[in-house]
Amino acid sequence: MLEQRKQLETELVALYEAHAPGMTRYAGSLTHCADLARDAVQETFVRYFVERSYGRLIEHPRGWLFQVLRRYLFDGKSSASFTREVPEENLREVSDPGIGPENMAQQAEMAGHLTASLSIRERECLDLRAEGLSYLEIAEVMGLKTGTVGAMLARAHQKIRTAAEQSSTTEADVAGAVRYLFNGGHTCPST
Amino acid sequence: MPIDLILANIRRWEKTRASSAAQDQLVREQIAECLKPFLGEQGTQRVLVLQANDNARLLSTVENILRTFVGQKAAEAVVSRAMDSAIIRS
Repeated sequence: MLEQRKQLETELVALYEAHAPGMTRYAGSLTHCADLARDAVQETFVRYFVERSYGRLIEHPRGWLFQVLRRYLFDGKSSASFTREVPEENLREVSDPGIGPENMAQQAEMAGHLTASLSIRERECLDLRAEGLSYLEIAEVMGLKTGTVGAMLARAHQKIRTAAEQSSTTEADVAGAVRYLFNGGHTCPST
Repeated sequence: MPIDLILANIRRWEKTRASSAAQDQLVREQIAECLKPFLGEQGTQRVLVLQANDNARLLSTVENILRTFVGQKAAEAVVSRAMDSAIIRS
């Protein structure tokens, strides 16, 4: 019994080390709130431990963790509060420190265009893909069919390519804008 | 460290669970609710009695039974919902 408990704790710590950073980024991207994201990730890991203690067999822990995290966030907040806004203060954290304020402004503008062109679900798919989840895992997390995930990702990539072609920005600025989009350093909006 | 916070929360939960049978009872009640439509009252009680002294295998047993009726994905979803209810109420 004690041995089993110890094993479970070791399993949890290993999963935490492997997935907590990605989960926190994903939750931050959905909520734009670092505190809420951190709390949600913690609750998800506690939930993992509780369910495993009652004998739940979890074959694909990463997909399961992201799925429970998503459910926790969507249950806790109305979907209307999930916005596509990209907080401006994130830019400084992700940009190449060598770039000037003009390029930073361009990247921010570009990120704004990208954000506006992507649907919330496309953005979420990209977030999960950026965290290394397979199409199958993304489908399970979002409750979609694998084919739908593929189609949404293809559409999102096409939109990014189109936005890049239409703008006068350089490739580096486009890359900076994408980094800007997927940065997880979110601050809570004052409500 | 966030992991320490998580482990502290887990220990708190384990303490509550150890000090009273209410937590386990709540989980069993929620599980019973999700089994009843498929097994009926008596069948559900039979499964829970068989698992009475083995909470460590409760969910996997229930999920296996449910899988026969509704398939893997739906069984997972039903068990998750039961745990959602149990955790929210506790």
